[in-house]
Amino acid sequence: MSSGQLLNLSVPRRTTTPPRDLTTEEVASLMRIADLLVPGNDVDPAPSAIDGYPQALHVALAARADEFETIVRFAAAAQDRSDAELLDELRAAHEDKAPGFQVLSTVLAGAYLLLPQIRDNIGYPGQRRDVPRIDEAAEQISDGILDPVIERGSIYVVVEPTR
Amino acid sequence: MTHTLACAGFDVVCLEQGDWVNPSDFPGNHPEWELLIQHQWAHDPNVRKLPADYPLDVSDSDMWPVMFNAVGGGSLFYGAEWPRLTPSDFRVHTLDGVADDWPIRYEDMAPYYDAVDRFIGVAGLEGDTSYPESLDYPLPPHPLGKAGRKAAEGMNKLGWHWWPGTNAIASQKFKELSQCARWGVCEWGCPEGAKASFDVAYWPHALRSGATLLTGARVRKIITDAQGRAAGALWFDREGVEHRIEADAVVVAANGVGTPRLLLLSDSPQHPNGLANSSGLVGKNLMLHPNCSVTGFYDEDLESWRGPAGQLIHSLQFYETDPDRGFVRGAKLHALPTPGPLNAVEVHRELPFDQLWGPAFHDVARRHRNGILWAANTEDLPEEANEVVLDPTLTDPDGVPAPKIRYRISENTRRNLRFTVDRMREIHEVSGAKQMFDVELWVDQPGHLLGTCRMGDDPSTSVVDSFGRAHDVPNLFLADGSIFVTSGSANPTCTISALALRVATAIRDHGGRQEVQA
Repeated sequence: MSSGQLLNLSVPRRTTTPPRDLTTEEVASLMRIADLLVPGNDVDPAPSAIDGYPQALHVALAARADEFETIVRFAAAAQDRSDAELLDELRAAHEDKAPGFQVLSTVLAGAYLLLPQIRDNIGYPGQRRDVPRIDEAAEQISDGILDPVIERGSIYVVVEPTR
Repeated sequence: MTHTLACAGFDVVCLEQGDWVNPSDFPGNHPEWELLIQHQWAHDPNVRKLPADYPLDVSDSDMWPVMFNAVGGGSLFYGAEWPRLTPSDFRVHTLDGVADDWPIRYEDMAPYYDAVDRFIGVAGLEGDTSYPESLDYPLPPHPLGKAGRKAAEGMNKLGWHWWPGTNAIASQKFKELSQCARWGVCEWGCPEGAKASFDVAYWPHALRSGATLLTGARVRKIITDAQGRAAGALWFDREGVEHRIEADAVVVAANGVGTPRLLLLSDSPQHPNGLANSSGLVGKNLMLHPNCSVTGFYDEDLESWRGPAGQLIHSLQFYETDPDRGFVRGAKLHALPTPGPLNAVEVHRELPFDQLWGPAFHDVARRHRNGILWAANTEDLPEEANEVVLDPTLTDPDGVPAPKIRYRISENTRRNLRFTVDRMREIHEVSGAKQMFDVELWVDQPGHLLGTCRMGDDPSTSVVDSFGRAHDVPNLFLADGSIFVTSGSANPTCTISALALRVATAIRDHGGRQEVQA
């Protein structure tokens, strides 16, 4: 292995860096698209209004490095469009299920949803350790919620022995 | 299998084409996990394309079988839902006049179900009314959570069966398993090491008992001797170098696609149509448990990011045949949480642009806390036309022919799917869901690979006997989902594990009786 690391046959190598750095124009173009897909409001800022968005975009692009070229093609095509033209094209791409739009939009939205400020706003704590209290399971089934099921009795089909 | 035989003093060598995966490797450890599972850690090997994977030709299939290739296999990616087959599942022909009965009964399996449950620490609540009495589990059930409670309340309004989910996820620390910490990413590997995937639940015990595990070892052929007995295997190491290993007996447990593939690859003058294939049934009768689902979003905060996932509750209300429904057999339903805001966005993708993107986006993203996924396995019946064959051109990275899947969903199964989706919509409606999203068929999610080397008493209509021994090759055993006769609709890993233990126990107790059949 060129890296000197043993290749694990069952584990993809994680990277948070896309296949190449985006150009300034590509970043600007993708931010414009992201702002159209996820416009800001009084509570939730637009992607371009959050300092961390470009870095989050890098992480998202690395996670979908398989479609990096598709996404930068969208970025290049967007550069000479007005916002109105671009929004029309995005709407059409969504309605037509145009190839590439799914991955473009999931990466741009996914990057936005990586931002701590946005996670706080939408109440997403992230996937994390959350060990239940010792009595939590018992508490949730001991108030009679199962009684109707138990009262109806067995529902399985009794099969007579064949030998 | 490996553990049981190693404990009995057998010299066991296991060839595994993949590697170990550390719990810290799994995508759920990382903030961008929802993007990682779309490709790098996808369930579909044709998408993931890791070095351990082999491609599948699915161009003639209605569904795309999925699997994971590593120590512990597909169990690394299963949800660890752990329902048994019911007594009726073993008597489908007798009860419904379709398919075939198994050569064994529920009562034959019960001791093995119990033993596996005890060994791996299954969590559940005793007394499930959809099973014979006395069913109990070694660990208490997991909390229902707000989503599970909501789902259960809906079932009570309808008067339908439900029960707290039975999961092979440790609700308390158990042997090598950590206590579940409700990460909620069970189907992409447990970061906590709490899910009973078999790399954690069995392999440490097998290795301590003296078994040998060779990783990065891709078997390309089972070799046979002049008498037609299994004599070992040819395999490639991770550098592509071929090796030969000899053995007194061979056990194949490569799943319902990998096992028939390997048997078909192992033809010889004594076995011209593939090993153990005098019946012509190796690869036939593929069953995939077509999955359907309805995701509902509610006004209430259900904390739907919280695991386990895993089933919060399950229902066997529609498991059995009801002639009024217009199809035979049924489905097993399960309610799960809906972790992740990007996943919530993807569920909404079928909506018009302005209901997902633009100003609507923020509300959609917030719904990740408000979701319940009702999903179901439907029972598909064995049909010989649904099969695994060797692809004439496609190969794996070592040049070994890849499997080709031919699979069409029957009209009976389509009716079952439609009926089940309607029932899940009914549950959401009575529970107060504000918006629902149906998926009548999960095309890319059948990880239940069953029936392709069915068991039976008659060598002309089955591949192995009821102890997994090949009718044609007395020292060849199969121990995976391929030996199912019918699929039931219960998640199959529980039954696969019990069958493997039953096969292993038979080898242990009767290993010396290996006579070539006339």
